[in-house]
Amino acid sequence: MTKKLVQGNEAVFKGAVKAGATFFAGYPISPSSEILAQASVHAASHPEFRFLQEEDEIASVNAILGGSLAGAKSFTATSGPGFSLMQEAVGYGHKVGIPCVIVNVMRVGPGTGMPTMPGQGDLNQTRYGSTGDYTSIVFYPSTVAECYEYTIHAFNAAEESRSPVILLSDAFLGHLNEVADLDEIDVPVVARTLEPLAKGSTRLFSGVATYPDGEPATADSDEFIRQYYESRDQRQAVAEKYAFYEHGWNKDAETLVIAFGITPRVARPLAPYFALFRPIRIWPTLDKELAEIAPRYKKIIVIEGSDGQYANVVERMLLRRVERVPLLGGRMSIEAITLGLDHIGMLPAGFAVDKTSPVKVG
Amino acid sequence: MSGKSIVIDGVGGQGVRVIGNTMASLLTVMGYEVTLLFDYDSSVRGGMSEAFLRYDRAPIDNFVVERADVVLRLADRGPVHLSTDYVIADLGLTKPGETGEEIPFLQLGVEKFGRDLFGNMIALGRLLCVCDVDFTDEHLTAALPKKYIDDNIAAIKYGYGLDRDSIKQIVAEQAASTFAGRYAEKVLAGVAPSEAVELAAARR
Repeated sequence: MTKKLVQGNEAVFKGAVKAGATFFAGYPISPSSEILAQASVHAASHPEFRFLQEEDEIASVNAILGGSLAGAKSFTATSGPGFSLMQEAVGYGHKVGIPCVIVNVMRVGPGTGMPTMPGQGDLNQTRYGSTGDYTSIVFYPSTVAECYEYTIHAFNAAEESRSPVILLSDAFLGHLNEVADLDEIDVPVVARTLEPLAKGSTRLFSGVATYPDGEPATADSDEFIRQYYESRDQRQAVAEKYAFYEHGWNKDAETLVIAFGITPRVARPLAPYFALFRPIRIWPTLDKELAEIAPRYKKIIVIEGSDGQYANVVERMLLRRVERVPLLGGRMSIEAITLGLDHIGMLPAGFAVDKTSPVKVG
Repeated sequence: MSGKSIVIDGVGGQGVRVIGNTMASLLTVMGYEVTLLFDYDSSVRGGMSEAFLRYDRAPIDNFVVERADVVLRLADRGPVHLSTDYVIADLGLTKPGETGEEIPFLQLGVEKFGRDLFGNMIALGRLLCVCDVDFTDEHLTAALPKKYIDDNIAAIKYGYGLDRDSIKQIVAEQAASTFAGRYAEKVLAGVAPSEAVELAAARR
């Protein structure tokens, strides 16, 4: 057992190496840059690991797609604006079927926003950021140890689904140093599923709709639909194997709080008063699991670092009203959460709020 | 000893990260559960730099410190709403109504150990003393980087050994020097913090 102080971004990098990653390409951006820095340092003493600092995020994500096709488990790390630039390549990766991992350490957007402040506003982008329909698998850990653990799962899911898998983090989690024993975390690693190039066969990698033999199928709706459902069902089946969530706190309470990533940790003083559902697999949504748990509770509150992105999803999923506590502008604090609960009339007895606080909620 | 919540408040370049990392490493070596979160403003050179440190014997859920047991204040840029039981501050940085003490850390670093950087370790020593952290030389050796380790240990022990009487004496000696004011003046004028402390320490 080796307990050490480990940073969230460092744990992500170590998880990637544990998962067998041998190629990182990236462009520095707060608050993800430590992952790039770790990759750079690691490559200097591990010749089997290749590091490429690109000129921008478009080049970075395309480099890891190429690296993956060439045979390397590949990944990149970025934050909101960089993730936006990657979206065309994300769609290409889904269309062609390229396993890779993209780490998005979220900050407050849109635009450059607040580069060192934590946000959770990229959820919808991880699901709908690129063009067309595709099945995105996305994980969001909550602790430094989980950063390590779910990075390995992300690589495994990428291999099994043959698609770009997103690992979400945020400015707090990425920069959080925490005592963890990473050696104690034992996640079996899925071996490479994609045959590397230069094996003697001809392969076509095309974002264009094609038949299996490579001929264009750009006007054949039947073939497109066949391929689409095949890939959707295959990725959904893989995602089902990674249906990670936590159902905890006071399970006998009348109200269920839904929160993810760092938010439930900040909200922890509320644990005696509420039940918690913490989705770790953010996409595809945990429909079956939440449909089983939610009916036990009279009310549902979603506490999240965006203006209702996940609350809207839950409302649509369960076809019932959910309350919202949006934590905006990087204001991840129990003060902001209790003010939000007070605003919707759901502050537990025993909690007081400062009515003069300038923190604005709702 | 139960756990505590600590905030280190400063500006970029003052050593907030060094102090936070060193204290967190030391507490980890001592077997504590520790969380350490850095918060900084990326847009302004010399902008706010904060460290939020929690330690306990039990695992820590909420790592966001909204109420600190102790604040170490090297500059006053920290969260406006943060309340605290005790403030350890460089000269002129305690606020009306606060309970605490003022010590000219950076100047002591220059005067006692030849470099302002050791002021950080003196401040860390005082912080460890106020928090009642009972470390050994072995803990320090395991927690500190090898570079300057002897000087750093000496500076931490010097800070740890300060008592109220010696602090009063030091502050009285420094009061006429208006070190903190000159330092703040230099930093606000855009001088790098390491250079500002040297200029501020120089007797006129």
